[in-house]
Amino acid sequence: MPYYVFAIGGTGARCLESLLYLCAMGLGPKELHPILVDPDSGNGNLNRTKELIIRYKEIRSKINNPDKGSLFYTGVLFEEQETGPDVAIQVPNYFNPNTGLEPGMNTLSHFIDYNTRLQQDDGKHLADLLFSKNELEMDMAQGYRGVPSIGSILMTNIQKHKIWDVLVASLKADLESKVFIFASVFGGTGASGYPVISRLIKNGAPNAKVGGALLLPYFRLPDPKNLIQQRESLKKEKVLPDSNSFMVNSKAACEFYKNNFSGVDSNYVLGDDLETCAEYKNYQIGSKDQKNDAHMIELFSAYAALDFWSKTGDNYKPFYHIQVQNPQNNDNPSFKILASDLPDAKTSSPFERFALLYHYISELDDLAENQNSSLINKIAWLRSSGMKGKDVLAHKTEMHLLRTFFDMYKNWISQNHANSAPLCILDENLNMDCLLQEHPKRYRNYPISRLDTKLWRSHVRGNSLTETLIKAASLTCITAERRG
Amino acid sequence: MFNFFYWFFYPQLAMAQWHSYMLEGIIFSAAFISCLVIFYAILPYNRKRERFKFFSCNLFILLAAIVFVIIRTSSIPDEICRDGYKWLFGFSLVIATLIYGLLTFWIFSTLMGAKKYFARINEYFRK
Repeated sequence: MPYYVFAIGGTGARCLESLLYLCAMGLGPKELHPILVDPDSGNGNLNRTKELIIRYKEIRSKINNPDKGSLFYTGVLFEEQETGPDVAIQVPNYFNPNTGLEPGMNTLSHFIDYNTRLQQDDGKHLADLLFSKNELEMDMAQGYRGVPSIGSILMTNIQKHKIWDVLVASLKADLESKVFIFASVFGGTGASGYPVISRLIKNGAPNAKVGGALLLPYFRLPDPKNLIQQRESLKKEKVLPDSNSFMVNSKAACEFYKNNFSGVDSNYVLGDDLETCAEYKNYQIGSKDQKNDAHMIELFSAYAALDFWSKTGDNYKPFYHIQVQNPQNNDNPSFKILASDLPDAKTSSPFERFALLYHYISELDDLAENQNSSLINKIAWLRSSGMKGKDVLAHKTEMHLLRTFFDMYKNWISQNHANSAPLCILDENLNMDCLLQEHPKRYRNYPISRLDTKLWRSHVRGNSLTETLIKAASLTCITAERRG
Repeated sequence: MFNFFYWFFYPQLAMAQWHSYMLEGIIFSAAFISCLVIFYAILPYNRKRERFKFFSCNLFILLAAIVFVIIRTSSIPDEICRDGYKWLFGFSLVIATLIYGLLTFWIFSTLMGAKKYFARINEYFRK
């Protein structure tokens, strides 16, 4: 019963990134099947999310039968080679809507045969009415640049992709499976993919539950006119996304979804105040250089997916409106998103647990790196799980792998701070002296090695260092009275 | 009877007086060990400083025993001493305090689990 998640465009990829971190914190479903949709296969956002999935999978592969709610509980189906004969579902993880277009001919005019077949009949006039000349000749290899009407034509290609038949068959066979879609309504790729893909899924498997997070504008881009003047590489570009049109696009899209669309069982609408949004400083039109920072809206989108998956029966509302308060309107210039604002604030402290584990793993990795076998030898939980210092040194790669993942987590936390409505659950640099923003003194002067004793109490014996550590950390209680 | 503690000292004159000194030595030794074990047990765990704390506590016990022995032997009258009685008494008390101290730390470390794992002294002698 995997839950499918479509991450459409750069925003979708970043939402999936947030969802993966929630899964790593133990909040995700048992099985997740991400499907990335982006015409720009080298996109930096896409690559970052792919790398995160791979790192996640590497860690998850070392943990056998994790308990529900434990760290890295969610199994992620990713990469085609994994879906062998023993696995019933075989759906690839990446769909490029431009598939079929020859390299160098990624233009709409080529796709709709504007210069050949359409010239012979009235179709040319219809195309002229719908698209400008610049749009017809725009290179789509790096996305649809804020023009969803172009992308929506190509998104229908998904039905020809091998992904499609298997996905629909799986959804028909397993009514418990659900689909969630991450997409923006103000850009190009996401806005074009959301209605098309959701409608196609509903047509193919009418009983399948489909939900989606519709992201309203939450960032601004530099003025395209200035960009063209300032950057030599963009001088030839005739169509660039313009954040001045984001609100107009969003309004039109919202009216469409509200009045004329039934392809999605639950829409979660999330947004920020565009006037106060931060502008992407290092804007790139696409390719590997397009690496945008994470935003707390993406985290809330991930929570929306978890909320959708948690629903049973017919407990679905067509619209859920999630909105960030405007920090300027409520006379609170130091507006921040804190742990108490999160949906799971009352039940657990997943961010706190993960931040502590980041420090613990970093320290353990440093010990392993410094060949400090004698000290590692004295860590009781390692010894009780049958591992000595030399065993840990022999499995340094496991520690490096964990550290890489947690370094990515730290970077993600840091990026979430850099918004007009910053996500301030944890300190920007995960500094122990002020780790929790709401309780900054809780871990002041707290030696992270004190977790040695907490981990020992969980009495976990795993098959590997990673399994033992992750399972023990999952069982360690974090209480309000005495954290860690 | 006292030789469970004084392994090298067997007085053969002024037995009653020496037994009194020997009992006093055992009581002081037990007090030093108890205090330092309790002190070490209540210290918060810190992996990097744990060895330092453990060895420091044992060093304190040793120093306390030596200081006690010096003070005590200086006040024991020479009339009840023969050969190296004072030296043997002191040496025996210091060695026994050290050994019993380490043994007590080992027992407490086993009882307290991970928190005082660094007091498992056998680990320091075993490769």
